[in-house]
Amino acid sequence: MSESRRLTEKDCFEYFRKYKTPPHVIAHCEAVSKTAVRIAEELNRHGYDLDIGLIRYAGLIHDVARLQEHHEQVAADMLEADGFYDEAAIVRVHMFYKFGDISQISETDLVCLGDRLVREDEYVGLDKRVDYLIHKKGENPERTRHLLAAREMTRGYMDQIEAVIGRTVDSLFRPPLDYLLKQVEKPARYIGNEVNVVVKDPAETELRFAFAFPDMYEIGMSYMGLQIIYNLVNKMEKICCERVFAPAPDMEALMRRENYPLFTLETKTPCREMDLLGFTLQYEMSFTNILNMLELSEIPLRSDERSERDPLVIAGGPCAFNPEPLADFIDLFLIGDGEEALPEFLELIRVCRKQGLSREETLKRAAGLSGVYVPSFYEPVYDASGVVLEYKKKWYGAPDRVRKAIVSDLNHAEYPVNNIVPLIETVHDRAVVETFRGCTRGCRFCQAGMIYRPVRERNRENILRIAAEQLKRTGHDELALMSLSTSDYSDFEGLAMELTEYCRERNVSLSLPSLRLDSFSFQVLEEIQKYKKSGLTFAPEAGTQRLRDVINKGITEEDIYSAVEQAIELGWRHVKLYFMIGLPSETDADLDGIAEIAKNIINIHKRSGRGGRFNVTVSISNFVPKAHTPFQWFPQNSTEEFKRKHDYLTERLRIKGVTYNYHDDAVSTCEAVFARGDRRCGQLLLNAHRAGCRFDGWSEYFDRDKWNELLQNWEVDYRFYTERERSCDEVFPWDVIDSGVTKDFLLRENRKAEQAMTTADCRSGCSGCGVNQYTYCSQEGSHV
Amino acid sequence: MFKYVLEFSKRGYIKYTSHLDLQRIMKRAFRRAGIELQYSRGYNPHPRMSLAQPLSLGYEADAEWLEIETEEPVSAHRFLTELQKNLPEGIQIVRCGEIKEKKSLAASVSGAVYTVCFPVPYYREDFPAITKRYLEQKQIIVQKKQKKSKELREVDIREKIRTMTTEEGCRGKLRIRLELDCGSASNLSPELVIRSFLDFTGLSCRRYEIDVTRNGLILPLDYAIRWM
Repeated sequence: MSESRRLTEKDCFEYFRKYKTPPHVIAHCEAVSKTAVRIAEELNRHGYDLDIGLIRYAGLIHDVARLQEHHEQVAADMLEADGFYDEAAIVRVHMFYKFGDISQISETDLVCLGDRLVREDEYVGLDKRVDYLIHKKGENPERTRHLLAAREMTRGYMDQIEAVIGRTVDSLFRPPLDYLLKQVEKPARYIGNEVNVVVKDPAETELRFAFAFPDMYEIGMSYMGLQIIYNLVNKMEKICCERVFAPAPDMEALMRRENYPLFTLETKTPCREMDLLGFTLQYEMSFTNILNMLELSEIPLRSDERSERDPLVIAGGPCAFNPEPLADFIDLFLIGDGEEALPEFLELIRVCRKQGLSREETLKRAAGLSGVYVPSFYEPVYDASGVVLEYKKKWYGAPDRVRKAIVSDLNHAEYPVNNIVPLIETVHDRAVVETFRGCTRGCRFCQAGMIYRPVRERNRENILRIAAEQLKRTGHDELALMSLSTSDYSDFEGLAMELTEYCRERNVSLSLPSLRLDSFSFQVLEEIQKYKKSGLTFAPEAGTQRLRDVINKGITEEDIYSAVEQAIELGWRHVKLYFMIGLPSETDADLDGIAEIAKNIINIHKRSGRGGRFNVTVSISNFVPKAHTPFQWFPQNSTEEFKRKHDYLTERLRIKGVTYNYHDDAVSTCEAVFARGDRRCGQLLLNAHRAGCRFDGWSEYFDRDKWNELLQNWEVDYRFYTERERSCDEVFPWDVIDSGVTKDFLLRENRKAEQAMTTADCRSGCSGCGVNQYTYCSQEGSHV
Repeated sequence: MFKYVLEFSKRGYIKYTSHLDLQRIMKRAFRRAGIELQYSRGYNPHPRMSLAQPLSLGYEADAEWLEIETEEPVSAHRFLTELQKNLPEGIQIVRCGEIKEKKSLAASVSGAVYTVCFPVPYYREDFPAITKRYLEQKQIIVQKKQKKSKELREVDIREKIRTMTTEEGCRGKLRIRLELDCGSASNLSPELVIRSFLDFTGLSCRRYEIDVTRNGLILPLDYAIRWM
């Protein structure tokens, strides 16, 4: 008897040559070896001490003689003769091996288990492998019975292993993320790893929160709210915030094919293993992405189907002000300012988790916090026509109405200075400082202008400090101010001059969106855009003064024309105009007004005698009535009416130098259904999800025909939500949410709109919206 | 004006960033580190900084070169500490040097060394012999997509392969070392070699199972870099 030796890879391949082992058998051996080793390594990580080398090469050699009869005996004899005793012992028994108890686990168990999980050269798992064997040539009941018994025995053994390693054996055999990343466009969307990213050790956190943006990375990373929440939550002790975005269709297809679950960027943890999954709701047409992301996370779509092991699924953001279309899928909504609501909420959940409270009990406790809406505690009652009669509480402890959370002073609110700096180009890739929240103008179509009341300003010192610090810590070379209306900042001139100076000295370009174009703005624009005059933008929103009064948009044609004159004088060559169509009381005369304004601007340029190229872009969007606005009672134009108006404008805007573009009317119809939808819309969303709808906000992915079919086949007439005028005493599905602005005020504004009466800016006197009942409003009458 | 070269490695997830991404990443790292680069004059000033050779997305690298110009002298210590601190995980500065040459690094690089790892056991076949036969071909014709027309054209890559050797890589897998022409005068992407080698050997592995590392760039012997 020769001395005991150990096989090497080189030995194995020499044997393969000697025994003329066919390539497909070698490939099978390699797969078995790899499978066995992977499971063994995981067991060793959990305290076992298996000989990995023995498993690897016994696995690799096990079918070397498969072309011969009793191949396992032939191979074992040969190995023994050459002194490979341990390997020989494993190979000898591999055909008819019986698993025992995990306490007696040996290398033999691993190799044999590996052999039972692999089909040809691929890991397929136990069920698929047995299925394959059952239906293989020569299927007969006797063999099937035998195979099923063997499957049960193996399953039992795997259960024991899974209990030790704390995860399924199948989960060990997902392809490495690298394989997926090498096959997709822009793989850096999925890697995290950016500058200023926060990666906390899961072992040292008690609550793990996944912040989910239901759109692609490039969109989500341009959203400042994400940076605010990320910074805020990661400053908390024992709690971490990680990010997850909607994978692009190419990545999604791969993940589905490989059973690769949706994961967070920071630690690549499957979302299913996080404690909380929180979606931000920025626009209605991202709702299908939410369902898709839940499915990719292997989390049941409906709240009532989730178990204690699933994460709590929460949502916030502007669309949470009408949460009902998502009520079936979201366990809990946070309404209002995240800085205010989130920390207290997360802390409460952390404690609930620690105490081991059930989902139900946790939700009950959370419902006591301000800004928290738990849809399962309410049940809407509809009348025969589908109008809401009342919201019945299913648990007495739930509040009658959920009041939004309000940050009373921005100067004391957390604001990030070490923003995550993306590695790839995103839509907006720059330093951003929010100068104020809310708006005093009171445009009647604008939801943001209502739900973000009251106006709260950040003081100048704070803005400058944040800007300087952010630029330093991110290395950005662009700075933007963020608010609903940049020039309305109370000390705008002072702020703009100081920032202009600061940025010029540091090769930083300054971006001031939505400026009101008065002479001061031009002075600033001249300063910051010396060479590149990109284009001037106006948003008159409506074509005639009458209609602008109806919507309370305080801009006159004289404002526009005098600004255009100045702009042409200073060398601008491009003017962009934004309008909406389908506004309340609109007639074709208002559409004519749009063409009129475009024509007049072209003529101003002609009269200026400056010659050269000059063009005007008219961009038309379709009015979608939104919840919590004075126009929430108003019917939306039908898809056909929008189409007629688009055609009408196409005719009217055939003007030399004018470019015209408009939004898809079908998207606007869908958006309107969800904007004022109720719980019954959940079914429509599910149908859309099953039909494969996603990224509906992207014109290249929105499937017009599919959505049309979905709307037509839905058991509810969608026009109930879009084209129906609501009566003034109707109970709305979103009345359960208290935005701070009273329904009375909205109704008053609606009546004034009917008479084309304007309401003055809050700064020239309080308009009585009601938000000052809850919080201090600094703006009421501040300019009187 | 001072001209430096920074030699850095790129490993791990950061390999999924492109050439343009990396330029932006570097520019921002300098800003965060407070190391002021020389800016070009003109309407649209940009920092004087360039990567010697673009690295394909998905490749790791041991020793890439970034050439920069500064107004003030900068010590090696500042690059190795302050700049390093401001780089994303996976980019590691190996060393830095001063350049006295007029000609840019990008215009001077002539070759590059790559390591290609295949998911194939080294001992499965006699790879050294196969590689020898592969190189003994008079011509190695591959289909190459033209940059502008996007049309496929047949090109002979044999002359651009300087050396090619096989060895046993980690976990006993086949590893191939390549020295290829690289630069503005003559250039060969390892992708073409990989494709034609797979065709030649009949190995059936998928591209995403193959890993490529660029080990370094090659300069003419007389190009003077004073390593700091």
